[in-house]
Amino acid sequence: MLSVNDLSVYYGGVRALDNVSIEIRSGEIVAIIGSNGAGKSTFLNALMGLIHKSGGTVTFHGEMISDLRTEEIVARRISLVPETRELFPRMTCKDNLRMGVFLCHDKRLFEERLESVYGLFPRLKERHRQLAGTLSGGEQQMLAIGRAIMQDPRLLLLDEPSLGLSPNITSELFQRITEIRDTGRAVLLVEQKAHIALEVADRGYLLTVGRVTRSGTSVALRDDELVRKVYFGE
Amino acid sequence: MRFVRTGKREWAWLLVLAGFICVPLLCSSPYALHVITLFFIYVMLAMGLSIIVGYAGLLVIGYAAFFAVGAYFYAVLNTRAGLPFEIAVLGAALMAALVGIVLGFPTLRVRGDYLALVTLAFGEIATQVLNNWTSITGGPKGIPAVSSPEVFAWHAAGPGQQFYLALACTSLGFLIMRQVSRSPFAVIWESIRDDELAARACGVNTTNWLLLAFALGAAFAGAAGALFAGIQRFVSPESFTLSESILILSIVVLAGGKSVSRIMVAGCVLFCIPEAMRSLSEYRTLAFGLILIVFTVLDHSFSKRRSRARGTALEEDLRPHYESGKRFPPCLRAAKGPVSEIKLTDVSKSFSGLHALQGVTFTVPCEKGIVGLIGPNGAGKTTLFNCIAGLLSPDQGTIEACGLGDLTKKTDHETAKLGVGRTFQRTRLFQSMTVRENVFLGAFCNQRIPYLASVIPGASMRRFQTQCSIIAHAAMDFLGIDGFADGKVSSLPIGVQRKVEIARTLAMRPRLLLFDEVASGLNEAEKKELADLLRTMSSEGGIPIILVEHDIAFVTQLSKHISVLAEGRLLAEGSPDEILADERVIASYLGTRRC
Repeated sequence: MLSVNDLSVYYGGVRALDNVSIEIRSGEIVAIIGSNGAGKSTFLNALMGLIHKSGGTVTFHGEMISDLRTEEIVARRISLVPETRELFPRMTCKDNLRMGVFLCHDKRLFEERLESVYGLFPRLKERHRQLAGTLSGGEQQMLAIGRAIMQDPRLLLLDEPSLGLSPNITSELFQRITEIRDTGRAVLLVEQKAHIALEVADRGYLLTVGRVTRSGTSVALRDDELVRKVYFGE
Repeated sequence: MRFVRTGKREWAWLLVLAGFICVPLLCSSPYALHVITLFFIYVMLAMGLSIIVGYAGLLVIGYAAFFAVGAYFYAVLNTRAGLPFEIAVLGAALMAALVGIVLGFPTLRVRGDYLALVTLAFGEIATQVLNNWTSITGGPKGIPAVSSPEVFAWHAAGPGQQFYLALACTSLGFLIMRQVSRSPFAVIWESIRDDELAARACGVNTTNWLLLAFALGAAFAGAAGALFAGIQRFVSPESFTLSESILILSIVVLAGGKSVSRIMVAGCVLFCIPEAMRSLSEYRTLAFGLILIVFTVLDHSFSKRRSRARGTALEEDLRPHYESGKRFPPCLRAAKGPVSEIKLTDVSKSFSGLHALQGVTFTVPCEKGIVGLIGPNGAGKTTLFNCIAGLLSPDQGTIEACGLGDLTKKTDHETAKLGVGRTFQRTRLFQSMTVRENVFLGAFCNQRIPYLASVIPGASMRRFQTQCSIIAHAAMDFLGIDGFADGKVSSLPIGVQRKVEIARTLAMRPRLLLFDEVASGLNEAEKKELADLLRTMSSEGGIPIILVEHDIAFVTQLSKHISVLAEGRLLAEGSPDEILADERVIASYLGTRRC
């Protein structure tokens, strides 16, 4: 469904991504792993059109989306949960979720999806009238994920979704991520907790200083020597 | 790097100065000389305002009021008491600075648009006072017959002499600005502008520092005012209206804040060119508006392109380097002994109906080294940190830290000064500054700031700079981020940003460290490194650390003692093994599957 060919990004004179090619099929969770500074967040931001791409193409369901603006990419139902969360701090929890369905005006649909997000994160229901900026760190992370899910994305891009979440909520979150996959959608997961990420993912790519250095099934990656060295410090 | 930069463009400035010195020799038109003299005064005003707007990031509109204070100070004292010019300029600067402090004290409670409004009102009040306090200011007619400036028996009567006098004053102002831009002042003001909360967490008393910016900025206007009064030989309220304030602000904004060379160019564009177009008569204002729009738009797109092209001087590999078995640098040890324990008694905190902490009572045994604080999301862990660090004041209860007294009675910058360093859950770095400058902010905490040397041109701050450099580099080296020292923090990946934040707290030579989720966003290998570093900090450095963390493996391997919060209450405490076996902790937090 999504194929990225030879994507390159430069920051100033520094090459952050060097001809990265990645393929995602429907009903699949794909993990991107790599150490800090490998270019994982840059990759997601470039996909969403948030930063300037110096080269390469992105096609989504056969359509070229490399040159589209961010809002046009979102309209094709690709959602990003950014690492920095980027909530609307002065809006309530519920209004933040409402922004997730900004492109759709069906009230019934909104209520429906709201319920499903509340089902995933009951804490958000308790706090629905609270301003997002006053939520605790973990609650903000839940809200950021919830807002992305509200859009009912065909492709969900998650940048460090477990950041700041307690262990029990983290495992529940990954459970939900597999459920999202099972409905035929695709998830692109960037996660530092490599062992969980590779546990839920079907396939994965290892990014090292802006290049794809390994790719394959999760099982193969988990046993890969390079991955073990970079990631698990073994 | 501003703070230790040596002048590279010295010769360029000397050339500009030489050029200006030649002007009266080549140009015989008194009118042109007068315009350039006024231009110098505007440059001085803009330099002063750039301290407030550019460095400290405060939007101030009624700046011409300080200009008026200086001008009337000189005019009144000169006509009534015959005060000589050289004393009057100093007095006017001091007077304006004083007014700046008096005005700043109540108004600095508000920021941004509100501050702009308040200062706008101040400017309007100033014009009203000038118009109506007839006995002193002469009302709308102003004060005539001010004697032209006489400096040490050198009478500046003609336009040529006045030109040189203004040039001398502006040059002096320029030298002061240059000194300020290399002093810790600049770094501290910019840190406040970037993130006030983080600056306070580094022990910066932001209110006092902003007042200082106000005072220094106003002093420039005061001196410029006295010079203006002497040159015009006449003052009236017309010279200090709102449009004057707007013109000065436009120069600063067009100049992009701080650079003096750009201020001179912007001053030229916004003052000299419209002046030269007097022949256009009624179209002049229109032309001025067009110039302003065209230059602003051009400059905006230009500086955007420049900032994109500049990039950062980073190596291609963005990973911090790490060697195991690193020693803790002795120069980072706290001057005073570490905090041995923190006693929390009945600490409660609510946010509009939400009870974040509900009567928490327990003791944090800091003498054990690293202690953990865990709990479900929204349990109140960060709120508790904020109460200890003085960012929040609890509704009730006391927090007694051994050797520091009751922390609930202290504000955040006071607590930081006492030696409590903290990181933030979402890293709060000074985004527009380099890694080195960020860490410097921590190092400033324990050093005596050279206040006088920061404003006296040519004065040496070497001792201070060396001290801070040693500390900052030791901290960066210890964390393996010295390779990024000159990189802008906003361009760094989160893992490195966290290390910068830790380095900043270490540079404070803390007696207690509060780390809020420092391991989140790091992978396993990086967590191992961080764990090693924390162990070294605790064992060799003797710094007690309180960790808020969700990575259970990370906390349990490091901590000697763990406290568990849930729903704003203490759920359990004890050794890591006890906590991992505790039924209630498993039920409410760990879940059945361990992550």
